[in-house]
Amino acid sequence: MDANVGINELEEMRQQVSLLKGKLEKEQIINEKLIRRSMYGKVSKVKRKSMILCTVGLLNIPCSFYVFSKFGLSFAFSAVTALFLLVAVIYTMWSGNSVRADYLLDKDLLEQSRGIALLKRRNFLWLRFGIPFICIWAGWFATELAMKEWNEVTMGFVSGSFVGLVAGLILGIQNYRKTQRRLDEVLQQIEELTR
Amino acid sequence: METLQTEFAQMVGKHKSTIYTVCFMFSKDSDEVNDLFQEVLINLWKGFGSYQGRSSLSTWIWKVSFNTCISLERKRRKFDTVPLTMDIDLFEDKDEDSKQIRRLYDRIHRLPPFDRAIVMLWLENLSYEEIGEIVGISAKNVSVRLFRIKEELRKMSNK
Repeated sequence: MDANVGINELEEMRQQVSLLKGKLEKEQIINEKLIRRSMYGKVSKVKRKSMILCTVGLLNIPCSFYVFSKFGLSFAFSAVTALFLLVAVIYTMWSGNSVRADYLLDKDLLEQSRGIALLKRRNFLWLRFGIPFICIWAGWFATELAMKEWNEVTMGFVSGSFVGLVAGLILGIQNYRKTQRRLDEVLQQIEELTR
Repeated sequence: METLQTEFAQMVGKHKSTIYTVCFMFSKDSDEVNDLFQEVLINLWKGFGSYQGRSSLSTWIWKVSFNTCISLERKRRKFDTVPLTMDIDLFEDKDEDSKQIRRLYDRIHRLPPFDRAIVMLWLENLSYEEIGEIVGISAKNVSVRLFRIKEELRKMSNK
């Protein structure tokens, strides 16, 4: 097999390979680019989800107006609901402006970490406002419905709304926790890189 | 996702010397080694989620490493400057081991990229079938190529 390359020479090359591997085994990997890509992926996901929520929120404005008027709910209730959705969309877009995923690939990480911390804070503030608002909104919704004549269609609407509200709340809180966890991970990675 | 990341980190930790050796043999200087190393890691990460275990893990790692290095060598891509991947500079170190490694590098690096891959796998004591699977040619073809490579290495030694 090794007729053309002398046995000693082959052995020497194999020894050199072992030397090389032995030297490398002692080394630790410092891979900033890979960590930056991982952070980019996480923040992109957060931003993508925000965009989806904004789109759903915007689409819900005309839908809620239509459905509420069909069931004879007051204009004030529909208007407040629409206003809330609009504010939620604008707030989500505004709060997301503090972070740009692509900046995590090559820009100053300390500046990005400040932006991420700000986004986390804004998300938390929105939750603090959103949950009490939803509770009040749900009470108002129930009062509006209580004044209506109850038939099968109203019953269906009420049960549908109740399920939607509970599911929305659970999904919303889950999404909030996931987002905050992802942002925490990115902050931790930045800390590790900039330590 | 976190489990996947942990598994990936463990895999890289276990096979880092193989990956780095390939990158070293395909580079002209330490910056290029680091760039190649990162590119290989990125490609490994991209494929890690969908790696189904069709071939052994080490075979897959060799494959991705060679494909990345050979394709980048072909493209002669200009890299941005990026931080070190390992705190080592095999091109600059002056100890006796590094001199030996440089001798190995000088021999292997003079070969064309594809032959470089074959000879490195041959030095790892892999069978012709295994080498063929990694570089994507038949075992017969590996043996023919290796014959020529050994001839080439012999000429280098005689010079």
